[in-house]
Amino acid sequence: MTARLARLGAIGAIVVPIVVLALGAVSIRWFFPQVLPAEWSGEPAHDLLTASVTVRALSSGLLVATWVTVIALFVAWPAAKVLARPGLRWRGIIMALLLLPSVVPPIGLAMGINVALLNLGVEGTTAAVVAAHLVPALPYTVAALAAAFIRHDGRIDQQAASLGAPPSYVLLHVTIPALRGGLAAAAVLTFIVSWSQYLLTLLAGSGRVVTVTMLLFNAVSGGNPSTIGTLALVAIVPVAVLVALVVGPLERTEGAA
Amino acid sequence: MTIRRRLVALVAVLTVVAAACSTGSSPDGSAADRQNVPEVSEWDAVVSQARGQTVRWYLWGGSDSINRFVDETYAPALEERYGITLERVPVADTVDAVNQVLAEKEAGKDRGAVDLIWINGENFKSLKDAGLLRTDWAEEIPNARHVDWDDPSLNLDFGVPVDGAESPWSSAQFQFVYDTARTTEGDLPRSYAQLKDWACANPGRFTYIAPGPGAFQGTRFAKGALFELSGGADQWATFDQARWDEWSPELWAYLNQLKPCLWRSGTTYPKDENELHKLFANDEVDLTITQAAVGPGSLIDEGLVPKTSKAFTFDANSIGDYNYVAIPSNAPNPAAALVLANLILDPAMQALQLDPANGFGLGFGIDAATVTDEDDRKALDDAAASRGTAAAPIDELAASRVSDGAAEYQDLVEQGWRREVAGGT
Amino acid sequence: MTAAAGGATRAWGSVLPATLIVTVPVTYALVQGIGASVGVGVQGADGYSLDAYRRVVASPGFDRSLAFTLWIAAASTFLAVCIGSSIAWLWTTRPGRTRRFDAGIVHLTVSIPHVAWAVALAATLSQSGWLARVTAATGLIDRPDQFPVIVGDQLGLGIIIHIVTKEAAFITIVALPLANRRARALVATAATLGATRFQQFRLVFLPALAPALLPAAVVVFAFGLGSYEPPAILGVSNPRALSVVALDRFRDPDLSRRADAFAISTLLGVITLTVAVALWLWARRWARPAADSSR
Repeated sequence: MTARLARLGAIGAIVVPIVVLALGAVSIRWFFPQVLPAEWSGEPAHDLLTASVTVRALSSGLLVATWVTVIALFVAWPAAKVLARPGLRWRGIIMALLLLPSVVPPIGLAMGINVALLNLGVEGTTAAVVAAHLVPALPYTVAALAAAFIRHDGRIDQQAASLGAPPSYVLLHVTIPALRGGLAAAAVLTFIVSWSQYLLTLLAGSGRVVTVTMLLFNAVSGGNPSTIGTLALVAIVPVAVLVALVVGPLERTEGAA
Repeated sequence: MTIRRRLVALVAVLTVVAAACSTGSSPDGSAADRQNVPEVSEWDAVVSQARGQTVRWYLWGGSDSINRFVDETYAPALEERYGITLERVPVADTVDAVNQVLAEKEAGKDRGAVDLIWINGENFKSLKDAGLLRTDWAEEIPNARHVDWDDPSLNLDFGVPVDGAESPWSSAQFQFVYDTARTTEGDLPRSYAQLKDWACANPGRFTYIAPGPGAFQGTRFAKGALFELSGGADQWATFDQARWDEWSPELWAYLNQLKPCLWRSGTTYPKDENELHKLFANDEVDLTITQAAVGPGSLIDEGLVPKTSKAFTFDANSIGDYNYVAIPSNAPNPAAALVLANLILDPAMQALQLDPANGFGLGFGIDAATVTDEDDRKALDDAAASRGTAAAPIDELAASRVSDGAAEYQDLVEQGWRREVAGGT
Repeated sequence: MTAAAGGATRAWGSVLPATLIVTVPVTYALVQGIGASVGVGVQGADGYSLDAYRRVVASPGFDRSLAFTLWIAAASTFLAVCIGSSIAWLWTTRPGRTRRFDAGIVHLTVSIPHVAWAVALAATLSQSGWLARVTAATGLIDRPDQFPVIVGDQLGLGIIIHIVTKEAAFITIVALPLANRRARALVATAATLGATRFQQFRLVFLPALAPALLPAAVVVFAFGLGSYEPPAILGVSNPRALSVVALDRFRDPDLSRRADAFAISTLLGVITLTVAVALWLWARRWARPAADSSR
């Protein structure tokens, strides 16, 4: 019984704040003590969503996240395949190295990457931001893909090859379809890591590459509540949709081996 | 296997060495290769060079209404009249644009990313002192004839001589805002001394923005108190360490006496205007501030404060000043930047600034008396008259207006406040 | 080269790109940060000096900021590990039909951008936020200042709540594979041996999860120490979290103050390293008795 209450409380703790944001997005002058908005208005949200700055930020964020996902998958695939094999020496060390971006305090990592890009002369470009995002994202891509490879029975690949199929065929028509759940999960995870970045985008992009999270952060000090609510929803909704799409494969990644 | 291992070790060593070596500053760039812009006095040549260019204007992006005003007023005009594309680059803080230019200089970049910056005060001083601004242009552009460059509150920016390195955009004045539904006009404090009594009679119902870099409204509030305590603002126009040493203890004493009566007992302060507006709108405090000539008019339209809000000033020591646009010396499209700076001073454009319906609401940068064109003159007068009922009365504004002090005091006030009042880092 | 050695070389070639992309920038950032903090390549400095560190430590309120930051990181890590492992426990021992939905919520929580979540919490928990308004509607309070201060408070409660909610979900996700594979069987064994549920949780489940929990705890601690968005949005002006102070110095037009920023971030890195090593040593000491008793 307590477990059920705890569960409902936990779900509420996550859902309620998001609903509050949504209410703020479609109202105006929603001041204390109004529990539900007294003045509803879709206009501020509409104006914001159609503003060119918002559209540009959305497309920047999508572009960067997509590039990061594609490159990360490309690079992580061979690594994950190898790491999934039980016998590899130094496996532990490699996994520890891949953990490195997560154990460095984010502010230090972001400042350091900013200086690195500045010295290379590429800071402020979209490519720089993509490169910067790869650093925190890759570990997740590798981990998710490795988990998928672990559950993958490599023998069907071998069978296909022994039946005369060329390696490219095996890859495209046997391995990838078999792994598509894990692949989807890895892609979504990577996309989300890139999409959610704020500090790295700010510093690597020198403020020139503007994503939704950056607009949202600026809105906190300058925008009205409906702007903030709308931008926050724009930041959250794609993530929520993607998560809903891959919950199944994600769960199977964590399920019994 | 050994070869691989060695290769990895080599890469690792190289990385560390590269990092250690390249933390040094980048090689000196060659002397700034300024784009050959025609003399400003040959305006037609400037305009024709600007055609087809894109001007990247870095300005504080924290106000939706200002952003909209820029996008809807200047961008179409630039496109239609001059064939110039306006790219508005929002920055969280003007200092970010300043750092951008400084970093470009350090990296030796002769063609930077910034064409125009909305700037004033300490940020202007940083770039001017570093020699990174194009100078001697602001008084030469055609519409400069409408600017009263003899006025010290215009030709000095926080006490720093402008020297033609920036051109005015608009004017602002520090005002308070109250809610007529909650407070009656007669109860309002009209001086810092009265403010203290009022705040302590209503504990927790007043606060101010923490003075600090980028939070100049807080610094302005503190400076106003300093002016009142020391008997006047004029003496602070020049920097005098002795004067500061004499009066700053009184300032800290005042603010520390005010502290326990503040919202949250002064243990924390809002860090920007938006936070203060939010406290005001949600009935946590009774006063907020604004700098706009239209008072809280645009704030009301944006839904940030209640419809019943109105502006007022103390009887004296309400700091007013101008804000400007400046062109970095490594701007890639200086001709387009010059055209934009000139367009901003166009009387018809200036009239649009003041009209509350357009959402900008800051005052004129030009002197309406210099405008001879009848239609333009009428537009300016109408705009001034239509500031709206939420605005503070013009005579009240004029009577209490004082200039800001010398630039050096800005930092002293901000650092001192952190040390003596907030007790923080 | 034998086939095995050739395979090993191929294996290295496979992991090298990923490993390099990750470790090279991080190493560079670390070395560069340390260098900059002792004055290498910063305007106005010649040669190595600890000036930046002295300036930072001597700045007023530094000790409060340090204590504040450490407190937030430690409290958040502790709570996140407790809650995360508890959720993993409930899921392993009591699988329900709502599992897929719950998993969705957990993954959603982890995935929400920090900026957005901080904003959502502020809107809900502030003194004039939604919870306060509901309380006012019930008549318990009539002014915002009568509602307790949860965000924007001196103890960083709002920040802690932010980090705990997101990171507890993270820990749940990290713990689950181990929970499902190793722990479940061990717990079942312990149950047949007569252990109470709490004993099963503390003495069997948690240690079984340790290989995943410990690195995850270090990750959460590093995040609590050095993340920017939560304290920037939910924090107060005094005391400020060290990450906020660091970014402030980094963006100061006075370039000599930049070294201060790197001094702070190096300090945070050293603290994280210390905690990581301490946890590792503690875990080894803990694990050893089990190895001994297995004889």
